[in-house]
Amino acid sequence: MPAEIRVLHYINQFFAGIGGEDANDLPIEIREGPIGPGRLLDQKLGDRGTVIATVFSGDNYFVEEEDVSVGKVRDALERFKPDLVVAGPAFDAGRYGLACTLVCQAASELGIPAVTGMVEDNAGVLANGKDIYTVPTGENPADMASIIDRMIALGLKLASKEAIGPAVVDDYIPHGIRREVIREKAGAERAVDMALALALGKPFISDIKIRQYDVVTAPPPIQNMAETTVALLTTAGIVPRGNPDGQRDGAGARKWVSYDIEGVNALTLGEWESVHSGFKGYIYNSVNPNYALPLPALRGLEALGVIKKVHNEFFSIVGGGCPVTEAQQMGRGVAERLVRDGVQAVILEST
Amino acid sequence: MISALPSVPLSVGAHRVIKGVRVEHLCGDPSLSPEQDSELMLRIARTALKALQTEVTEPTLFEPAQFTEKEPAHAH
Repeated sequence: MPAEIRVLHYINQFFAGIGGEDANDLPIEIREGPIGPGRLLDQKLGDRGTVIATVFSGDNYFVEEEDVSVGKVRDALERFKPDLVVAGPAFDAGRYGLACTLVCQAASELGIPAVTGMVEDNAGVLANGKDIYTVPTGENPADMASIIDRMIALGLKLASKEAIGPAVVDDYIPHGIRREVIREKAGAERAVDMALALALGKPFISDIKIRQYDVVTAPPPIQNMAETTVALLTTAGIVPRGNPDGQRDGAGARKWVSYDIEGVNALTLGEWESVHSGFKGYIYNSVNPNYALPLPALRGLEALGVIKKVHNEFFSIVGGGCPVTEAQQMGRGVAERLVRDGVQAVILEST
Repeated sequence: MISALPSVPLSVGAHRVIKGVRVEHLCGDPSLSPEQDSELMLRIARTALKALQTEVTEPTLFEPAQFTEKEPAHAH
């Protein structure tokens, strides 16, 4: 790392002093030297670095004209050749946060280290958080000075190409990556230590971050089942024999697939199999695959007019060990397809 | 949703949960005669449709009537 690093800073129209929401259509601009919070950044860098240029843009403009904006950021990076990019901090501002993460991604693609800062549930973190280094912040801009100190600490470490440690040590929002490490104490001893700390109200760091699940409002009941198209979705990993789409099981499960069942009254053993390895699949695979997808029963109800029809394709996911974030993405994808195809009800078979 | 382990989806907030048979044979039971087995699958499917037509405000379990009392033969 050079003795004094060259920093390019990204901020929005508000922090650049141009205006608030009234100026959020401001196209992207580039100026030499620091502006707004960049002055504090420059001052705090002291003899460790200098803010050589500032890129700023209206929040709406940046995300609505993403290709143009990212192109201009790239031009600025090639022109100024900074050793480090600092974006924000964006606090809880969603479009600003998104712009900051896109600036950091553009820098990373050019091999330039980059750091930003925002709240953990900012849209930027949700969209691009896995790929970039983001210092977690609160919502209060009065914390600007301490956040800049923390962004400098992480930024200098990134610029020096030092190995970055775990999120909790090096102060960034976790990327969701687990690495195997060797601890001095065995798991049982550490578990007892944690239990004691918990009982005594002392601080400790758990190995696993427990997720809070989304709270979803129950959809209203179906009023007229005889006019309803019902789709089937199984997490048992039912696929055509030979698994033509290469569905992976367990923690490798990453995609949903759909298969045409128009005119099919029951799944046959010769044509279908389960590729889920989280349980003994031999009953689905050697006795009856319909146990994972009750197609014969739904066809019977369709023939009786109890439902209007069974949707022409069924959906298949391999459920075992699938991370929640991946499951959410798959769920969103299936839901979009169901809405597009005018399906009003879904029965999810979850093993 | 049909689940062999309803306590799991109910605990994370799934709204309409139908009790399935077992993880290895969710919507049927190979120890039954083919006729009884088809009847069981139909009961589960009808329970699912009933759940879809029921107003719920919190995670709710729907149990198909008359599950077999017999211990399945493959359970070893």
